[in-house]
Amino acid sequence: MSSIKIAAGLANAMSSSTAHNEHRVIVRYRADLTIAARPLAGKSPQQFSLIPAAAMRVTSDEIQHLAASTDVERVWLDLPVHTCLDVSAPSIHAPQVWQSSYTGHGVGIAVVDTGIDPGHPDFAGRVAAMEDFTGEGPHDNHGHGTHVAGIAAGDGTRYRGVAPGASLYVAKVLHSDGSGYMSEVIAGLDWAIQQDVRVINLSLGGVGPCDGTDALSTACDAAVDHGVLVCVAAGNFGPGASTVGPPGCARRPLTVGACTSQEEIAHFSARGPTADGRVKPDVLLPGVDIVSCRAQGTSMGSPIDALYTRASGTSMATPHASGLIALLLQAFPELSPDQVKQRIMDTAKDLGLEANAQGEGRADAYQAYVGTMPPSEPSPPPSGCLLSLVQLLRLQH
Amino acid sequence: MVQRIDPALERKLREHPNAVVRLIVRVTGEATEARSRLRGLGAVVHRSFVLVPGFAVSCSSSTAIRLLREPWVVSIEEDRVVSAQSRAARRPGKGKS
Repeated sequence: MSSIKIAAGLANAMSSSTAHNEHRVIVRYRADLTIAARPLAGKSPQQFSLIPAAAMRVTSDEIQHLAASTDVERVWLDLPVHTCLDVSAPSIHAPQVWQSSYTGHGVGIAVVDTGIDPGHPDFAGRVAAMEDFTGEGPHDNHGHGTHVAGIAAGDGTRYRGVAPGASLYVAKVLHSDGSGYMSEVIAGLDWAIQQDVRVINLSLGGVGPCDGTDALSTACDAAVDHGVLVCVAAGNFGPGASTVGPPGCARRPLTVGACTSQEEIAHFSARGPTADGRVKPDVLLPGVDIVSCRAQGTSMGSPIDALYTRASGTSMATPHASGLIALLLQAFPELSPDQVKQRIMDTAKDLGLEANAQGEGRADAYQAYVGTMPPSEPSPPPSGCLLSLVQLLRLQH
Repeated sequence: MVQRIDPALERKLREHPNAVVRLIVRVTGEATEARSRLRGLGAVVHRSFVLVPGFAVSCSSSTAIRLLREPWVVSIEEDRVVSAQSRAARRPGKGKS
């Protein structure tokens, strides 16, 4: 009876250690037990008041003794955690896909933007190619592209992107002021489709409305024809109707609006329909207060420290989609761009908003991976990330 | 169906025939020949494209109007400014022109 109270991970750790080895554990007690009555053992016990639990360092013998107590319901290994901060990657359940060993490894993402800081440690060894179409050089002298690339594929221990194993191909098409011409973006797209990429991220746009027949939107459609799924920002010109601008109105790319990590639509997120009456955006993803990589020497957003900065926009929502797609394509490399897009839309969580605000809803990496509709019950925990102890204890029954 | 030119752009071109404009010109047929014809009509070709057969050019408004008479020209549109869509980024129309 006592052994079933010991979580599998802890049991494994106990079996591969001596009786005198210490383990860090979390013990959950009966809910009606007072704090004073909780049985403790070992060293450095730390009582929790919000939940009926305590953390401590104990030997295997002490674990067995605790588990034998009728006051104890469960004993877990107190795992070291790496923070998946910001909260956005966990909020779309990307860590649950990582748990299945899919991190985007082997999938190339093209970030067509303001360039990148290739010396940022969160991209070490994964910037496969850089090309400049601005005449300024490929390094990011604005900060936007580096932030976007970090959301898609940063592999930091503090702030981890959605596809931390993906390779990055970087086309600089926006200048130091964050703007550029459509022709420069199209040139970047031309370059990107010649690289080993299956996803192109366009966190940029112009003023709407539009009908998808402009040259940039047409180029995006053509890139999808070439087998590369393009993720485009809906734009930040909401909340009025028909504010999605080019290339967000393109037909074949996945057009991404922004929501908070609490699943509320961002007021600035552009709304459809397009000028020819189509629903846009296609999905929403987190795009408010996103902490990601900061390019050296830049001050875009609200800098956190030398390496990270916080920013909002559909620019930030879009690379969540690109990273999500990289995860899917590592898991299911045979999927076509249209199939990937449809899968993401089919498994998005309906937020109950108008179609021209939310599209199909908030996209979810784990649901897209398993290929099912979102459950009404809480999802499994995003393992490996920093969760509150309350969440951990609620979910790991 | 691609519109050959936006009526508002055409009005602008006709009202200011000497103004120099940046355009994206989509074409049919052989790219090298189209490039040569554009240059022959006085346009400066900045880039050519693969995904969308066409060119980024600068030319006078009167040359742009002249291009509309060419059968190998599919469409003419303004080479518009796009911007990073982070909230602190500059809005389109306030950058390059």
